[in-house]
Order: sequence, then structure tokens, then C-alpha cells
Amino acid sequence: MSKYLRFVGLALVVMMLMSLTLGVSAQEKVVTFQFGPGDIPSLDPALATDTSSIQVIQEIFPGLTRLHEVTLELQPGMADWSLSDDGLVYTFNILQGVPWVKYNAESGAVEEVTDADGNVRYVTAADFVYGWQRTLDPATAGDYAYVLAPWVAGGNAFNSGEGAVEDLGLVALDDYTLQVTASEPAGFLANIFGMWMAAAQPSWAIEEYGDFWTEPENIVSYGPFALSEWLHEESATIIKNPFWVGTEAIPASTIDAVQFLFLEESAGFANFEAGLLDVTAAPLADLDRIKADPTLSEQLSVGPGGCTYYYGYNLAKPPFDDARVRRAFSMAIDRQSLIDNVLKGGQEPAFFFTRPNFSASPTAEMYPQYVIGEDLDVARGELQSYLDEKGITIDQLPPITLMHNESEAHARIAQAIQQMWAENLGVEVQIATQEWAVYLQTLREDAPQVWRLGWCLDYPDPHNFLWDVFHTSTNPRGNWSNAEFDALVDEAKVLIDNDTRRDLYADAENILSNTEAGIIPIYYYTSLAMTNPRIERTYSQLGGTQYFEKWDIKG
Amino acid sequence: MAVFIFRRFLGMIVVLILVSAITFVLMRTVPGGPFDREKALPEQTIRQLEEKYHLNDPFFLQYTRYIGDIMVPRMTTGEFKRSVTEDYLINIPLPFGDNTTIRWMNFGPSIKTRSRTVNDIFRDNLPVSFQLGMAALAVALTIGVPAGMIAALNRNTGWDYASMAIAIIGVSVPVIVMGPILRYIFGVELKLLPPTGWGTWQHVIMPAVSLGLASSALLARLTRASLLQVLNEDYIRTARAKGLTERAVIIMHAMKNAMIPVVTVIGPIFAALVTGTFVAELVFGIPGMGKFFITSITNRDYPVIMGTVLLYAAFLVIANMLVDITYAWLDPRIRYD
Amino acid sequence: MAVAEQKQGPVNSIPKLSTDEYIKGESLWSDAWRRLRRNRAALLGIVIILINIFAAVFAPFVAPKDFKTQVLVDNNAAPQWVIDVFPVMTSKEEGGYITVSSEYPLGADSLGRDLLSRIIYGARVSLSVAAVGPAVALLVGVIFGLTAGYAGGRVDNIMMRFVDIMYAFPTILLIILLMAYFRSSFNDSQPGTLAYTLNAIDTAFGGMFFIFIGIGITSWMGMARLTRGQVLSVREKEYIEAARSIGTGRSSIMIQHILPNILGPIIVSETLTIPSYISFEAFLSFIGLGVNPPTPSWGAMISEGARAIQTYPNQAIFPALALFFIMFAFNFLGDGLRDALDPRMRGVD
Repeated sequence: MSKYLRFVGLALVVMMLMSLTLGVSAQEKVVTFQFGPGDIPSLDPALATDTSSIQVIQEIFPGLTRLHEVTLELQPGMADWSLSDDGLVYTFNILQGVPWVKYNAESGAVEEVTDADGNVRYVTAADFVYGWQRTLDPATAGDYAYVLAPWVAGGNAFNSGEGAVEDLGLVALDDYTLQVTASEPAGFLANIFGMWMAAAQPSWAIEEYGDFWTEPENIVSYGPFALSEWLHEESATIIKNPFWVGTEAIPASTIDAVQFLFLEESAGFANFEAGLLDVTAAPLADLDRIKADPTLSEQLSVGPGGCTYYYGYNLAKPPFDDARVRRAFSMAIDRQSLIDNVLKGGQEPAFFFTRPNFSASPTAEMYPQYVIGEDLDVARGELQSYLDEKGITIDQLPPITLMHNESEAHARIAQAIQQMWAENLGVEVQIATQEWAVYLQTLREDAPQVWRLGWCLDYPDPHNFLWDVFHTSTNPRGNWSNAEFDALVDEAKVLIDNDTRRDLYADAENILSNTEAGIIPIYYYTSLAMTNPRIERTYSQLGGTQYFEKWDIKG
Repeated sequence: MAVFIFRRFLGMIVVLILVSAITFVLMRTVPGGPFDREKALPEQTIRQLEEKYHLNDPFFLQYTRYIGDIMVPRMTTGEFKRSVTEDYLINIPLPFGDNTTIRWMNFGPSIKTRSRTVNDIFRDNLPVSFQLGMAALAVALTIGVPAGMIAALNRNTGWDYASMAIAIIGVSVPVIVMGPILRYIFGVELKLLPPTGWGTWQHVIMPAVSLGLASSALLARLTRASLLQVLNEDYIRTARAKGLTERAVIIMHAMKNAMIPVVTVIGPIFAALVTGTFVAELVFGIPGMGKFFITSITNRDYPVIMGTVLLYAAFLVIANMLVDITYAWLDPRIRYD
Repeated sequence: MAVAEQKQGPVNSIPKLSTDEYIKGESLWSDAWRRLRRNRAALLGIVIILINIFAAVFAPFVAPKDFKTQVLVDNNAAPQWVIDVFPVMTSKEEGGYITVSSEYPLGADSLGRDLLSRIIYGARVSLSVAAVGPAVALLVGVIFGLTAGYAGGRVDNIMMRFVDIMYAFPTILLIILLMAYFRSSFNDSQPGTLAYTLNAIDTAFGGMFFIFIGIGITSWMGMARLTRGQVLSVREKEYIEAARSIGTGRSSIMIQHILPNILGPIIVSETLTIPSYISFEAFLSFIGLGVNPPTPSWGAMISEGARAIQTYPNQAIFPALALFFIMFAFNFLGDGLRDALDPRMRGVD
């Protein structure tokens, strides 16, 4: 037995030796915030693609323009700007006196970065030019370069390796003036030019540290926060940047630090209930209990998410090659019942693909005549008229497969909808699941009859939904292609006036979601968060990105 | 003995190369790639990314390059700049001046996390899993083996049934259930232990117990079965006849032989525990290796898939080699072959 | 059902063996059966397993409701007694969140489906998984390990290196890759091909078939190693040498002399691995690779329920209890078999 005791003793000693404490001092205002499980994929503005990365990048590398997180109004970020009369030339006047900063782990303070001569390095137009060039450079191989490339003159050519960097419509007129020439005019370009991949990037640091320049010991940044710690797979901490000048849109922060913990939802919620975490996602499984609990319900917030959940059809596969069948299946879903009984998160039923909260968005209230509705008699009638035309009964329909990627939440929704179709239309569909990467390839190469996806905004404009996802030139999933739809979204793309654009997008939605029913919009996501009452916060409508510089901690 | 270990080491290299080849073919045959997105990337971006990670080279060249980067040591002189494509696990400086260094074992970059390499994962996350795995194994052994002994020595009594029942509970309540329950009771309600995280000894307790319990059941019942078998052997009777105390008989003679089947299963349990456990890491928010066995596949992060497979395989082969050596020690009639 | 054949093997084979073996004295199997009958715990195990098999086979008659009919408004409903048993649950009447409904004996799941019925139907998946793993492990693993261990030398070396290679793959990774591969490449195949047939089988089994293949491929190596280890420890024993010296053939030494002597640990080990197959199915469900919805399995129910363990503990605990009872049964049966099959116990008690 002593052998075992020795072994245990040894293991305990080893464990204690290896233990180290993380704590942050108590006086400071530190917000602890739950991120999903797994590491932040990248803090490089040229490479980031996901919400966690973008959240941190927005706070350490703010873009030229910045969306107000509640009103979605576009505000000056690192610059204010003017636009030429032809809508092509953007002149950005960059904030002066914003130094590049770096966290010094030894002193525990954020410090200004100096060049070889000891002068403080300030963020200049040249840093933005470098950042844009690096993002668009094919050698960088950034995932999101394609969002910026089509809108900068010469951008697509350079990004595809055919054009030269000199031909980009990008000039630093002086240290604080950046001039961008767009390839074509569009109302939402100032949005795109303020996105994370169009941030300033530090050429000298990137050259010195190469791929590892975003590690906490190397990274330099300029926003209201600076990265102080990044424990891979565990947590990341951003700390207040005292040198940030503070503007109306991006004030100097009142809280001292934000610690992001990479935890799965229920683990995050356990920490929240134990009082160890300030903000965490509210898990679906616990929602009923949270709502019924007098304390927890006070701490729950339901805000809009940035995404739309939808089912698509493969328009090449019968019976969904006929609009009547597609419409019938869309009408036979009781979206509100799905939300009340399955989703429970106060989601909004979706009848259009575009989220309703952008200024050019058509909404179901504004255009009730374009809403497909959930009239079961109409649904059965349309399906029957298809069956009559084919001379078959419901049982003679080809076998129908509904496919989704493997996930418990998707499985629940699919099973509920499976039953709705069985009850409301009398059609039995099979559910199949595939692992995510396989699923994406299946969708690309041979989409099943009915499939599910979600779409989340990159910038708040219907263009990002309708044109970017369903214009024929973007190779939409499921063989959707409609010339009339393409013409409408093409026309709306280059207009500035939002009222005119809204009408055009409404007509486009009418085709996509109603008359042709290329897809079934199901619901608009909400984001459900639990917040410790000591936190005074804003609730971002951006679907994921919070602006911590506007938060505070009471007491 | 030395010859045996050397031969097994050569065998291990062969096993690892075969395992890597099979994994390479398998993972590249499975549909989907690292650059599949909900919104498909433009052709040109995919081309650029494939170029960057050499995924557009001929298949065989990719494999030989991968194996070459790991197996063939490189000598560098002058300034060496670490990058995601050139990051070596073993760097031995040589006394020739000009920063001459032998560098060996480059497992490649992670495609998903773009500023990290597979070696970074080994350096940062493997130690965490290793600590947790050792702690869990310690729990499993301290509970499992004594429980098995008690059951065997008190066969068909209350002790026997009680330890068996505990073993069954341990094995039939998966970590998926045990983890959240422990987390709720000790982390949220009683606030005795931190619900999640890593870094102090308090963090180790819940995951180690929930993982260890599951394995202890197997050990307990194998120990019981094996010990019962051994207790009927002639030499035990001889030992008893010699007048040795029952305790000496059990510990010195019976247990040694009874441990053979137990040791067999410790090898794989060890390899599985120390290379990380997905569920426990997720439930208790532990920055370990286990998640990479799942997420690397979901992300089609090819170098990480290869890295985790090779790591696991190496651990397992070494563990099994130790098992074979232990066999010979426990039962001298077994020869090394 | 395969479980029955598997586990009752010794039972069924009494008449077959007894005819020629009784002449030599009491056969191994009938002797074993005699002693097994006296072991109450093992008998209880057999009864529990038989009840489970019965429930699985006759699920449509046993289950009070259909396993897939949803009553969405009754999502997460529970009867009063369940609320009383679990103190964390409070009914809507008392200001809580649980819809009280006596419609569902154990409560309803998140889509308003009867938990009890799903547990009864779920036995089908779990019992099948519990049968396929050991079946492959025993068939392939024992023969492989026996051959390698007894042959020794070069044959042993080559065979065990093969096991090493197969064994060196992380099981999870191998299964995920295989399942991703099967489920995609067989999905849109043309009717008439093997791929199409396999996919049709998988669909008919609710997505279980590929789980079987995955578990089958990865289940036998441990058994092969264990068997070999056991053979190594007994093959130099006096009675084996005695058998060899009187010219007994190799295969008959293996089957008549070595196998019975090492059967104990093998059976115990296999009954001990059954839980791991079942919880492996739970794990696959947890990472989203389980059976296709709405097919119920205990693993899927447990993994789904575990996420709600603080809010609806009944949704994880009841399927876990079902799992516990079947584990309990297999374990006691395993121990009983071990004791019964130990040749040195023959004639004793």
C-alpha cells in the first residue's frame, strides 16, 4: 500500500508546485466576460474572421469609422471623413495624438511605443495604408480581404495577384490624411472602410515579430484597451490604455480591464451563479428557470443578435423545383410556436431574410403584402395544386431529406419542424445530419432538398444580406438564381437614399422569401446574456461586439 | 533489457510512421477542408491559403515534407527567426559560434489559430493535460486497486458487494453527467472549489475525481478478478505453508502476479488520460490538449490532427513498452521478445 | 438481441456439449452453469438484461407513448412526484417553471416527448451498441490474442505490431473521421451500389450502423492485448507442458487448456468495457455524432439532459438510471461468469 501512498503524495506535491495564481487586484474595475470554448483564433486584423477575435480587435484596433452599438448610426472612429460629389473619393482626417502602445508585463503598465530615436510613434495615415495593403496582399491570405477588395479601386486586381500594390486607390496625403478611391459608389462604403480588416497595422512590429506579432509580449495597438495577457485556450485580458485620447464615439474607458474566459455556456453560467463571472451567455437549457427566478430574471437581458436563421432548398431537386411546394413548406412552419416552446429566447419570427434593424431594411410591418404568412389552408392548397398537376398523391412525393449540421439546437428545431410539416401538410421528411466541414462541402457540391444555415451581419446593411448571400455572382447555395432579384439588388447597391433602397430590397425580399420562396426565413437571433447587477453596461445591437469603454462598475 | 528497449524504440518509429501515413490519407480523404466557411470564400482566397499551407502540392510531396520536417534535424547558423512554418520543438545550441543550432521536430502551423504552431500547443496545453491525467490516474489507482483487493479478500461478503457497487456507479455515470453535478454541488452551491479553470490545486480536484472514478471501476474489478485467480495458485499455498503472514502472502506474492491484467489496461488509460479528455476540459474549462482531438477534425486543421495523433500514438507505444517491461518484472517467466 | 446470444452462450450450449463431454466427467459449461445458478447477484443480472431485451424488442407495446410525437406546449413537463423528488425543481403553481402534467410518468423532454417511452425505445440503441462492441472484441480480439500469445516469437511480434498500429490511433479521432467519411460519401450514392445499401441500412437504423462500424473497428485491440498477456502468463505452466508432452495439438491446447484458464479476466474485462461502449455512444452524442434525431438513445438523452442538469435533473438522471441498471446487470453477470468459469473452482462448492 505504501507504494500507492508515495505515488499519491508525489502527485500532490507535483500539482502544488505547478500551481500559480492568476488573480487581479481587487480595487481595480475588472469585468469578467465569457467567450465560447476554445482559443481566440487570431488577433491580427488582417486575418480575423470570428466574433471573439473581432470583439478584441475592435477594442484594441478601432477602425476609421465606428458603428454606434445601440443606434447602429455610423460615427467617426479613428477619423472623420468627407466624400466627393461623385461618391468615389473618401478623405479621412485621422485623429492626432494617438500613440501606439504596448503592455509592459514587468511594470504592469501600458507604455507608449517609441521609434529608434526615442520619439513616440503616433498612428498615422501611413499605418492605415500599410494595414490595407497588408490585408489585401495575396501573400497575407486573409479570409476577409474579399469584403474590402471589391470596393477599393484596384483592390480586386491586387488581391487576386494580378494588379500592383501601387495601383490601389489609397494615398496618405500627409501624416493624418488618408484618401481612398472607391471602385464604385455605394451608400455603405464608410461602414466597410471602418471594419476590422481595414484597421491601422504596425509595419515595424509585424516585420520584427512575423507571425507572432499578436502575442501579448509583442503586440502593439492603439485603441481604448491594450492586450495584457493571452493564455491560449484559457483566457485573454485587455487593460485600459491611458494614452487613448477619447472621442465622442470611443471615450476613454472607466473600467480598468476586461478578462475574457473561454468557457462553454453551461460552465460560464455555473461561474456566474457562483458569482465569479460578470457577463455570460444564458444557456437555453436553463432559460425557464432563469425567467422564473426573481433574482436571475432581473439579470437576464434579451437583445437582438446579428443573424438570421433560415432553411434553404435545393431548387434543382423535386419537389422543390416548384415554387408552390416551396411556399407551402414555408407557410406550414409555426414560427411563433417554435420560438415559444423550443427556442425560448424571445427571438422574432422572420419572414424576410434581411434583419429588420438597419436603416435600409424592409420589415414585415412596413410591407405586409410581401409577407408569406402562415395560412395552412393556402399552404395545403398550393401543395395540392402541385400534386394535382403532377397527378400524384402526397405519399407519392419523392422522399424528402432535411439536413443540418450536427448540433443539439439545430436538431431540436429540425425535429419540431419535421412534426409541423407532418401535421400541417401530411408530409413525412427524414432528418439527416453531417459534421460541419462535411456539411459545407455537401451544400457546395450537392445540396440536399432542404438544408439549414444562418447568416450574420458583417456590416448593418441589407446589401450584406441580400446581395452578398443571394446575388447570382456570389454562387448562392442550393441553385438559387433569379435575374429579377439580381437586378433589384444591383440597383439598390449603388443608390444612396435609404427610402428608395428599402423599397427595392422589399421587392427583392418578396421574390426571395415569398413568391419564389427560395428560402424559408425562420427567426432572427437574439443574444441572451446574464449580467451581474454591479455592471452598468450598454447592450450592443451588433450581434456580438461590445464596447467596454462605455461600461462601468458600480461601487 | 537494453537491446529490448532499443528494438522496441525502432518498432515505435515504424508504428509512428505507419500511423501518420494512415492518418494523413484518411484525413485528406474525408470531405471538407480547412477553408470551408458558411459563406464560401472566393476562389482566389482559397488559392492563396492553399499556397500558404502548401496544400496544393502533390499529395505525396506534402506527406514527405511533413515527415521530413519532423524527422530530419536541421542545422541553422546566424539569426533564426521563429515563424509558424519554422518552429522546432528541440533546439540544441552547438558550441561553434555564430549561433549554430541543431533544430529538430517541426510539427507545422495550426491553420485555425493563425499565430500558433502545433509545437506551441504541445508546449502550452500538453503539460496541463499531463498534470490532470496524472492526478486522475492517481485517483483511479488509489481507489481502484485497494477496492479490488478488499473485494477479492472478502469475497461474497458485504465488503465485496459494496466495493463493486461503488465501482459500477463510477463507471456507469459518465463524466458528462458527473462533471456538471460535481460542478454544481461543490462549485456553485457549496462554493468549496472553483467551478472551472486551471492553475491551483483546487482546480485539479473535481476533474481528477470525475475522470479517476470512471477508470477506478475498471481497475477495481480487474484487480478483484485477477487476485481471486491468483489466490488459488500453488505457490500461494506454498507461501502460506511456509508460515508467511497472510499480509505478506498477499502483498509479496499474490498482488505481484495479480497485477498483470491490471497493468495491461493502465497503459492505454495512461495514454488516454495524459493526452487530454475532451469532456472534462469542456465542463471544467481546462486549457488542455483533449479538445484538439475533436476540434482539429471539425476545423480540418490538418497539422493539428497529425500532431495530436502522433502524440497520442507515441504516448501509447511508450506506455505499452513500459507495460511489457513491467510484465517481465512481475512474472519472470515472461521473456522479452 | 445479440446480447442474449452473446451472454447466454454458455447456457445455450449445455445440451450440445453435454452429450460427448459427460463421458469424461462433468463438462466445463454445465459445471459453470450449475455454479452460476447459485449466484443470486448474477441471476439478478440476467433477469435485468432479459427485461431490457424484452422492453427493447416489444417497445411499441410496452411504451405508453410514441417516442417521437411532440406536444410542444408540454416541453419539459414533469409529474408532481418528480418535482417532489428533485428539490431544485419547482412547479409553475409555486412560482417555478415546471409544467405539472401526470401525462408523463417520468416527465417530458424539451420537445414535449415522453421520457419513459424514449428510455424504453432507447434501450434498442444502447443494447445494440453494448452487443456489437463485445461481439467484435471477443470474436476478433480473443482469437487474435490467443494465436499471437501461444505462437510466440516472430508471429507474435508481427501480430502485436499490427495491434500496436491499430491501437495507436486515438479511438475518438478514428471514429469521427470514419463517421464523417461514411456519412458523406455514402449520402448521395446511386441506388444499387454498396454505398447506397450501407447508407440505406444506416438510415434504417437511425444512424446507428456507422457507429457500430466505428466501435467494431476500434474495440478488439485491447482484448487482443489482454488475451495475449494472459496466454503468456499461463502457457509456461506445468499443465500446459504436460498437455504438450502427451502430444496434444496446438489448437486443442489453446481451446481446451489455455482458453478456460484465461476466460475469467477476459469476461470480466469485457463486461467492464460494455459500459464504456455505451458511454462512448453518449460521448458521440455529446459532440453531435450520435444517432439521427428523433431516434432516442440513452447516450443522447443523457448528454442532452446533462446540459440541463440544474434545471431539469430528471431528464439526465432517469436515462442515467437505466444505464446504471444495465451496467449493474452486466457487471454482476460478468463476475458470476468469472467465478463459474474459473477451472480451479470446479468441483468446489
